[in-house]
Amino acid sequence: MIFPKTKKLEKGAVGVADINSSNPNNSNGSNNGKSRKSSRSKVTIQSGKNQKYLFPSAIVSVILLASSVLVYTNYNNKLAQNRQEDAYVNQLKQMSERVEKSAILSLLANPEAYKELNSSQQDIDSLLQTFTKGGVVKEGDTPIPAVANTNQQFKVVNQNWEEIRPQLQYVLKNQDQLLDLKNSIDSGLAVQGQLQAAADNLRLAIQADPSYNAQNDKTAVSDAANEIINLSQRINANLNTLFDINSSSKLETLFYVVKDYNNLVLLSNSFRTGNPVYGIPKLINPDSLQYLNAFQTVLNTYTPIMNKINASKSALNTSLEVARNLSTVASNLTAESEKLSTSFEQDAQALSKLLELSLLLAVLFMLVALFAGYIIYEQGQEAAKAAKEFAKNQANQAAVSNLINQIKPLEAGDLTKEVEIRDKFVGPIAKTVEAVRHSLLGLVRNIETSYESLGSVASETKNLSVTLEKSANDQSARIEDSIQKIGLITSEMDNVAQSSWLAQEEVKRSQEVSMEGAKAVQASSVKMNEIRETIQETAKKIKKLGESSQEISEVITLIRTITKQINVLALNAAINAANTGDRNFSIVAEQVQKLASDSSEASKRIDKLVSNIQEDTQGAIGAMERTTKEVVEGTKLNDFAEERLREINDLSTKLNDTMSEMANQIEDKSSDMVSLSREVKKLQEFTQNNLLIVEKVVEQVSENERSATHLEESLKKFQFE
Amino acid sequence: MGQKCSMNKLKKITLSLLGCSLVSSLAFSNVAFAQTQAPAPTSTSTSTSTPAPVFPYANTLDKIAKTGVITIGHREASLPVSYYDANKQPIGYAIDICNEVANGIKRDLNMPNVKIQYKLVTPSNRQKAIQDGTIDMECGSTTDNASRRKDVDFSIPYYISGVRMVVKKSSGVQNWNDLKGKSIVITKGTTTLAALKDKSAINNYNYKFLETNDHQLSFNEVVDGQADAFSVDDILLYGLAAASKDPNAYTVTGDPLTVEPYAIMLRKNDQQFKDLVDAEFIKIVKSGEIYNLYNKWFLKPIPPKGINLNVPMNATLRDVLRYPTDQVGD
Repeated sequence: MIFPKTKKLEKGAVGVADINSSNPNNSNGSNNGKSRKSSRSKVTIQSGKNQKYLFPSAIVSVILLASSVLVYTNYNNKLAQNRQEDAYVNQLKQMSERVEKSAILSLLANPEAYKELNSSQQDIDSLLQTFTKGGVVKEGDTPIPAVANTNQQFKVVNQNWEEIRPQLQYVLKNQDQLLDLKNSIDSGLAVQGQLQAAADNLRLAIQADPSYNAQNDKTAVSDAANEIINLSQRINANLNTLFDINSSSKLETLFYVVKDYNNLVLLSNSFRTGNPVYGIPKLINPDSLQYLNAFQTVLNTYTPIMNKINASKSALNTSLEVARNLSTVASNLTAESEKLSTSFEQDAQALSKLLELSLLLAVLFMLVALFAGYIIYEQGQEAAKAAKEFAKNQANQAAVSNLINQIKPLEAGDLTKEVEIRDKFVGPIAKTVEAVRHSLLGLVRNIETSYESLGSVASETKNLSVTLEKSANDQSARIEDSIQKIGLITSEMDNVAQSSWLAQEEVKRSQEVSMEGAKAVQASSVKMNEIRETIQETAKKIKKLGESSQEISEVITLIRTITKQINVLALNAAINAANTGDRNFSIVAEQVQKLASDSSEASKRIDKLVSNIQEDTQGAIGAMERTTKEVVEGTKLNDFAEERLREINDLSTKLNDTMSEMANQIEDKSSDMVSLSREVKKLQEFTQNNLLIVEKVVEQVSENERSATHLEESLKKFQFE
Repeated sequence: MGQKCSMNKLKKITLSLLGCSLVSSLAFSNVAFAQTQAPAPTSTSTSTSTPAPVFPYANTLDKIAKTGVITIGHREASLPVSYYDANKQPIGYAIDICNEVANGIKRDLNMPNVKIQYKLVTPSNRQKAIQDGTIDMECGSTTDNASRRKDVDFSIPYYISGVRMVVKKSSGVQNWNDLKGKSIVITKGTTTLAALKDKSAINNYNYKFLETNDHQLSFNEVVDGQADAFSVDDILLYGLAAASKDPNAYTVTGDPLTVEPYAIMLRKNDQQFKDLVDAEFIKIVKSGEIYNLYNKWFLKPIPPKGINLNVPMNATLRDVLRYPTDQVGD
């Protein structure tokens, strides 16, 4: 816009030069009287010539003035539009940031987040439509022109929004279902403590149930009761994490929730009716049944939640996944809007600079043109009065020439030379020109100052950008390092999880071994009891034997008495036989006596034998009593061992549970690490993006520097120091 | 215990009853015969043309008693779960499990002479084969889900798969959003396409879809660079990648789109037989044998090419086996 004006100005300047070139002729004429006439006529001619320029000069001046006003108005309008555009872009950015934030909050099924998403969507729609078609977003705003076809960055922003829109709408479409489910889950979680308490009570009741005697039953029943505890805990934990801002997929969580609930129902029913597959006998003890009923009642409060989860499982999973993506893509939109905003701001700055400069230049050129016109006009008047007022004319001409000479540097851009003429005719003009020169000088100095500060700001920005670039590079390297470390940790965690599963297997084995040991010890205990009973039985029999031999001893005493009497009788018989002289009877008596003495001898031996038996019996009884004591001692030890083995088994069960829990947790953490790794990778992408942006900024700064240099070159044309 | 096995109790077979002697097993078989009064198999074989397949016996135990055979349905190429070896013999992780289950049932019923036979099934005929009695147990890569459970029953799951994708490692693709604007190949007849189309539409991923008629062809598209990813049940992807020329060039990745528990498919409403199968399955789990079988098929070289899939047991399967149950999250 400046150039055409400059050309027009040159036209004016030609007029001024013409007057100058005529000056030497005039001065010559003034020295030579002969040539005065001719010179006067020359002046007249020249004056007529000058007058010919008067009208076009005035026209040009008017056109210049009019176009200056037009340009000013136009620029002013443009500036207002630009400010409005900038305001709209800032709104767009804010809405985009709101989508980013609300998308994350919508993962918590937060009703406010949905409202924000909805209103942001409408706002962004109307903003982008205004940019596309032009006009205003709300009444009272300055109408803006359509930028859809002119602004490349706007196209990018619009495309970005087109990508986001269906995702946003999907999230909004499912909000009622999700909010309903969330309320339902919250009501379920309100009784989560009750479920766990009921499960605990049920386990205690079942474990204390006297109707479960058989060892197999007990193991199966205890396993099932433990499983009820495990599942009750896990179902609540999973319901708690369903609506959180964790980035991992909810597919597995949903799988576990439904599976765990179904299994709780299965186990509850198994206790109610008995389940042969799991070896669970029907619960018959009234106490246990009471706790089973209580558990079933709490479990029933979860049924509507499960129905809702089953019905909205896929919508829930997809919706949460989309909401997470939404936040990421909205952050892209924010970044692109930011770029758009920057482009509008640059436009605005350029516009306002141009406006100031063009306005001042227009005024300056106009003044010069007007002045030239005036000079031409005056020159014409002077030429007409040349004869009468030659001297005055000469003086005026000299003054004019002086003025022209003084203006000449101005024309060349040298603003340092003061314009000062104390002439009543040219003086006021010179003052006006001086005033213009002064304000122009001020303006150029201002521009110079601005340029200098621009330069320092630019170099500062450049330094900052370089630092930023360096730190972004550092950051990128550190993130890379972190990704590797996270990878290592993840694989180590996997190893730990693997080993813990292996260890669990070992624990299971040890459990089995300890159970077998317990069984073996129990069996030996039974056998020892049997031995003790047998020994006691034998001891009794031996005692009886002792008693019997006592009786034998008594019989022997009786026999000995009888034998003694027989001996006496035989002696008497022998005496009587000797007295009577009966030889035969004497032989019989002798034989009887011998028999008696033999019998006495035999009974003595029996007596000895019996007392031996009795001694042995006493010894045997003593030994048996000691054995019995030892058997009792052994049984006690057995019982103790059995107890310890059971404790080992219980500990193994607990250890097994803990390890299973631990392995699960490690696995969860491992998957968390994988997501973390993903997040960090995203972070790295961002950093790299930032790096790109920084590079662009550096480029932009260099661009600015170049512009500044350009401005400097332009300024060099002016001399003002 | 044997004396307690009264006739009316046989209707509900219990674990303790499984211990009944040969005598009671025979008694049981007699009851089964008595209950049956089944139409002759020949008369019902014509009924296969009708829409709802008819099982011509009272129940599976009745069929086993009458025919002396337990028939296991298997797949042709569901590596490493159920497939043919080089000699066209059915092998695999599920085949081993089903063999143990079937042998356990023979022991429980004290029927050593019952034979175990195999029959090849495909995704399109496996359900009907169970319903009409062509097979008694289907041991392949069949997902236990709510819609199938309307027509058939399932035992405890032995593998938990999920729809994921295989990509070239060099592509750097880790998840579904990395595939934006790229091409995914799908095997015709799988349910994957609908799920991925939805995902693509909602998230503006702009996936381009290719289709082939079989998994190997689909995988070849990725190998040749015609497609960026191939998506189907992850275990099939592991198998294809492991069998490829350069197994290290590929990676199975992406959040699972689904959770797919593979389980033995059984006839609907045959609780006696299902209880036997479940009880045998639980025995295999409790003895730790299932972990040995898992290691054998997933962590060691397997026929026919001696490749090692190297797929450690995932957390969901571990959880299912921790307290074995046929209740799955669907």
